[in-house]
Amino acid sequence: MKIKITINGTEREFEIKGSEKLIDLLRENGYKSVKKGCGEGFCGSCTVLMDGKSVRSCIMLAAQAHKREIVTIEGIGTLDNPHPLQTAFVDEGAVQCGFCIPGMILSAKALLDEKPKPTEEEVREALDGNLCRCTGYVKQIQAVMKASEKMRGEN
Amino acid sequence: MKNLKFFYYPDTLQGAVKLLKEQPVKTEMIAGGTSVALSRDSSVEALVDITRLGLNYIKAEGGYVKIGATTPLQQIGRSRAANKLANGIVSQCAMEVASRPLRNVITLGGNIVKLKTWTDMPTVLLCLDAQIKIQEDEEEEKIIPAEDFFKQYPKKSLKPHQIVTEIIFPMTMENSGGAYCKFSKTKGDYAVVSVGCYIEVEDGVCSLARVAIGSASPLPSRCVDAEILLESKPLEEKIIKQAAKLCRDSVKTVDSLWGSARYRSILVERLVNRALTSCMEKINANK
Repeated sequence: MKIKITINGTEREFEIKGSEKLIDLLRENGYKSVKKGCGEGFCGSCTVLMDGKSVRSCIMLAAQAHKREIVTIEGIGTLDNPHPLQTAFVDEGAVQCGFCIPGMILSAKALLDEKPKPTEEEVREALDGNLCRCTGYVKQIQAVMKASEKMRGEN
Repeated sequence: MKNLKFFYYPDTLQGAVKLLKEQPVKTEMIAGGTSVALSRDSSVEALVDITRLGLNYIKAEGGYVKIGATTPLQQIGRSRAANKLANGIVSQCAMEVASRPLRNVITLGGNIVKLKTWTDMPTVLLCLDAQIKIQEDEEEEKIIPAEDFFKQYPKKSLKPHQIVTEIIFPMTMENSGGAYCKFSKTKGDYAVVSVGCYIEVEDGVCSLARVAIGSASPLPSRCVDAEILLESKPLEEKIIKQAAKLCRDSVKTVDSLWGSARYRSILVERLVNRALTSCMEKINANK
């Protein structure tokens, strides 16, 4: 069956099997940042944005994303022109192995797009669904707070 | 879902019901999909997406708060209208489910229909006497109280084409207190036991008492004996203790990976105690 999904601003058409998951569709079409961690919706490494909200692509059928807008981390910044969140994560030392990072940054972006000046508690709640085995989360929360200041033009 | 071949996107409720009824192959509905997408049921060949029918809303009207069945839990958690119910326990319950990316797609209707032992929202629906609107057929709808809805597994009582469309909460009174306590091993984890209590007070005594217990047994339920004990009496520590003990003795708990039946019984008593005490404190603070 045919579906249309806007990915990182570009509308694309796909021929899919009914049972295909969104994560597999994305990875097979080059969006390798979307990681398969648990395949059950718990770890958060598969997190993408759908219509601006963070969702789990591993427990979503690709067909559910028909006529929706998907954003992966490939779409928010480049090596030459990184998103302030990407810069902040690097500057604050919030990245170790890197596996959880795409999902973590997208969850943070969804929060900051909706609430440009979050409290630390709100950052924790937004990132609660992204597990990280390396860092202990401290630097990541710091990075999001720093990025939010930058995005508001405060430093 | 390996034999899934067809996916439909109706934009009217009647259209959705028609599709579910008339397909020659086994057809189910899908909302957030967190339950359906992982399903191993290879007999399902078609899915009907019910998230584009305009059932995503939260509105306060005519003394009720009405929530559309495909409203995501995150939205309920952040809604001012929903927060006005019973000291915010509906929103609190929603926000204690899983994590944000899951709450962004888990719908209220989906949560209550795909009822499992650890499902969260039914507890607050029961203690607040919510009503559930079901589209029975293209032109027929019915409204049933939560208490009747949860007497059996919704998957068994609902026909494949019947869609839950709305959950209706009566607006809670000023002289009242509501509390929700969920015990889980980590934040956002499956509930081991959850308790929802709602008390209305008039002339110094309980005029209405509701005690709902979820996840302790396969189906959520109200402890009516405890409610009868509380009603017409002043809400104080001694009677709360008695009510909590009554709940422990009358709720038949189950063993599962997340807790033994014995542990759950202890939790029932402790959480009912906590929730009722919280109700009492809130009522006293309002005076």
